[in-house]
Amino acid sequence: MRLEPADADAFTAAFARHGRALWLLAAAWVGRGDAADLVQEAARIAWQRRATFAPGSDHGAWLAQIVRHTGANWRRQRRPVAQDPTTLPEPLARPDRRDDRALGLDAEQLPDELAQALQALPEVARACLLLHVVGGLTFPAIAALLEIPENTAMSHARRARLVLRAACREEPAPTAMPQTP
Amino acid sequence: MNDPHDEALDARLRAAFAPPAPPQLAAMARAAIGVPVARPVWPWLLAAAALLLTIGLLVARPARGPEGHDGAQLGAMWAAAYEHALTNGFGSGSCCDPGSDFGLVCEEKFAVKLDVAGDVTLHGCYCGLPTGGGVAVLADTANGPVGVFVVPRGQDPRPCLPSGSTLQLARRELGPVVLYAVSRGGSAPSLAPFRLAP
Repeated sequence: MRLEPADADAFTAAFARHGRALWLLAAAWVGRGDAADLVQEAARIAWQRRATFAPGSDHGAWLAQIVRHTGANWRRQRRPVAQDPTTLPEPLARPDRRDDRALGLDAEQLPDELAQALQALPEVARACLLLHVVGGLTFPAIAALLEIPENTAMSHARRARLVLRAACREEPAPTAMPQTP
Repeated sequence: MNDPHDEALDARLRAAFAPPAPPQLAAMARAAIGVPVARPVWPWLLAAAALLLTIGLLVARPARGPEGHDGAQLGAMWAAAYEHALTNGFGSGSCCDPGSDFGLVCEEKFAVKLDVAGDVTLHGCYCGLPTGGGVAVLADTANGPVGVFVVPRGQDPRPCLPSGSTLQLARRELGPVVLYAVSRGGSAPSLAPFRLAP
């Protein structure tokens, strides 16, 4: 397929317009550390499939669908394979240490309890929360991106927040969390 | 959603999941689809112009004779050589090499053997004044003495006789070579008897 510079510019501009939401979506699916790679891969796939985009339809939703599907593929491919426990190496300093790589977060960015709670959420719930809180998107916009009903998006975000709120209460002292009055 | 703890929670999430800046996101998309960042066009235009100029100069450069002479220089040399041959007993040993074989010399020089048919007597290759390369031969024809000069096609600067000269110049392309004939008289000499030898 021949690369038309004008098409490429329009595509890049459209992608950048939805970039924040796509990156948050990617972070919800594969974690913060891999979000940029996923966004880039999704951009590549979207560019290859640009002929399948129906003019007049929601470009953001189309891109978000590619991010979600690509992210789901990545998760499947990266699913840990069962290993013989006798062959596993001895645990290092913190045997109870969470899997930092799952969401690409370290303790400085988010306390362990919060990160674990966030990681335990379903991807869609995590995405609803991040898109609403970090991205500032409205629930209709989130619903369009995730192709779910608006009420469902709202419920996901509310439940996710409750889970995180509970995790905050369990958070051990000294943390940066504000004290309950 | 209005729990007082929520603001702190939101702040933590915003800090932990701050998306890249829009230019970075655009760069990601550009990198993914293989579009380089826009660069100024003028260096390419300049390079293209320089290339066109070079090609133009190469194409427009006039052809040169076997020893680098232009058409006027070559014509003047041939005219002088012809006059010299005439004044030195055209066809005598003083200005030509009677032992030379015109066909063989052409074969050695141009990888093509020339032959003469009809009422033409070749006296041998001219060896007097410089003729600018190529092969020069003196011949007697029905119309009088003729100086024949042979150059390769790629080294034919289209010689012309000096202005005011009373000599005649004829031209004929024959395979990979071009033949010129210089003669005296009212009409241009004929090069028709010359042919490629089988």
